[in-house]
Amino acid sequence: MNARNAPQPVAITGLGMITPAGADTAATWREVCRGTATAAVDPALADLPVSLSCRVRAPLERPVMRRKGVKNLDPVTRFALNAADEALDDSGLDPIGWQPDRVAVVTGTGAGGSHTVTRGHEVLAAEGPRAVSPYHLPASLINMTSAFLSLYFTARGPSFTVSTACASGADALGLAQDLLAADRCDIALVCGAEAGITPISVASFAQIKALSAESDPRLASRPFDRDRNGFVIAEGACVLVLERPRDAAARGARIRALLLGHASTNDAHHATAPHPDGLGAETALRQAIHRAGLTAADITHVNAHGTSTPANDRIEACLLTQVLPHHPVVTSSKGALGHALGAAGTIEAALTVLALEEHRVPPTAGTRDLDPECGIDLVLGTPRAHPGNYAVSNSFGFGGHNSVVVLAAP
Amino acid sequence: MTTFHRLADMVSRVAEVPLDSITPTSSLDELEVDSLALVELILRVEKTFGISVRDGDVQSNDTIDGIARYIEERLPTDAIPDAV
Repeated sequence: MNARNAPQPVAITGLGMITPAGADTAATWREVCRGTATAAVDPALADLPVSLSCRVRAPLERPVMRRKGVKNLDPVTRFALNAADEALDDSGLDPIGWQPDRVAVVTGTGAGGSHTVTRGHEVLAAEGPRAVSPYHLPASLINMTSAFLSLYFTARGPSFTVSTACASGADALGLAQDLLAADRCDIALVCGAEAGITPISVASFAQIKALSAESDPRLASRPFDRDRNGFVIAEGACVLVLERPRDAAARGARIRALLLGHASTNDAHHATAPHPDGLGAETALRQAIHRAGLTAADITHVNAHGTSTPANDRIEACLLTQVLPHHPVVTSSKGALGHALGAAGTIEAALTVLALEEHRVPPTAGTRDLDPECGIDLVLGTPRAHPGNYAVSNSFGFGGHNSVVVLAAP
Repeated sequence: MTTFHRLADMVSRVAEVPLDSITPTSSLDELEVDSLALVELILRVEKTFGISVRDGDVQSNDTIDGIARYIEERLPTDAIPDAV
């Protein structure tokens, strides 16, 4: 591969999110920096082997939520709309003034409208086909989060959904960078969204021993800890606004960070287990750094995938020590926020933008004793002052999907 | 509450329009009841009034008053006191 053919850097000019830690970016960042573990016993999961989750508790109060029809949408799309409203506000862009044909939407999500699907099955079984809601399809189909972002914000350019399990959000960023590079749009709203805390989802993850069996919510998600035993399922959404740096500069926008490069690979190894040597993940990390026009030594901060499962964290730590042997500062946001599946990639990329802006890397909540097998410089306890300019955010998913984004201070 | 008032309340919720904007002569079109909201409205009418609405009987150019009369014609006799 030739780095000269790599896409040009794109500017990140707006951030918006809703997470278990808060209603917006500022609240989430504050709690992540405090190392607050948001996992809690979830009454909706009471009859299941695992009953911990990280739920969004904040009300969705952005202006778009008062628009007609929003009440009929699945939580996954409602989260996305709320986050997009904040991100656009942050970017200074107004859909009233933009060229709609030049605005793209790319959403990463793992499951689409899970709550709607669950409810639809219940209604069909209990009341028959004539009782099924006319809003079932628009609320449940996996493309509809992008479709409603396009509709409510008048974005008439390409509108896609990318679904690569827990790598979806990072892949959405990469695809959007490519759309900007190919001149298919001038603005891209990149969304990661997930609202998959349903009994069937939790039961399925529990059956394959992916979820933490810990009873103390504060210790359940503990990335890279020697006693880690699984992840905690989470939900939320995050939207990033991308533009070409010259367009952002021309309109006087604040460029919060640059997305320099991205790479996606697949392990082609197993349905759910990562490749034991991290083969696909290593290739993704090396390619992403190369496509960013950097060398491994430039990377001084890693927002790890760090799910708190025994296999992921062992393999990821090993990968980091091999590819980045100079011991960059590592954090995992999942100790605080749990694992928001398809939304995690954009949430973690946005948190990495904030870390670059503020020159500090948040701690990994939940983790007490770093696994001696994971020879990484993991931030624990309190945020670490860190002046570095280049960071990577890793996202790996079921199905062997690996996606890495490289971010830089502007 | 009359059938009209019950229906108007239902339309107000489904179409997200203020209740006082709904008059007997308002058509569903005028109230911006789209194709999905029309199906939702019919589901709620069937459930609330305990009647069965045949496909095509309620259309977007129908008025609220017209639909109210359609409902009343089909109400089971023992339900009429509630609808008066």
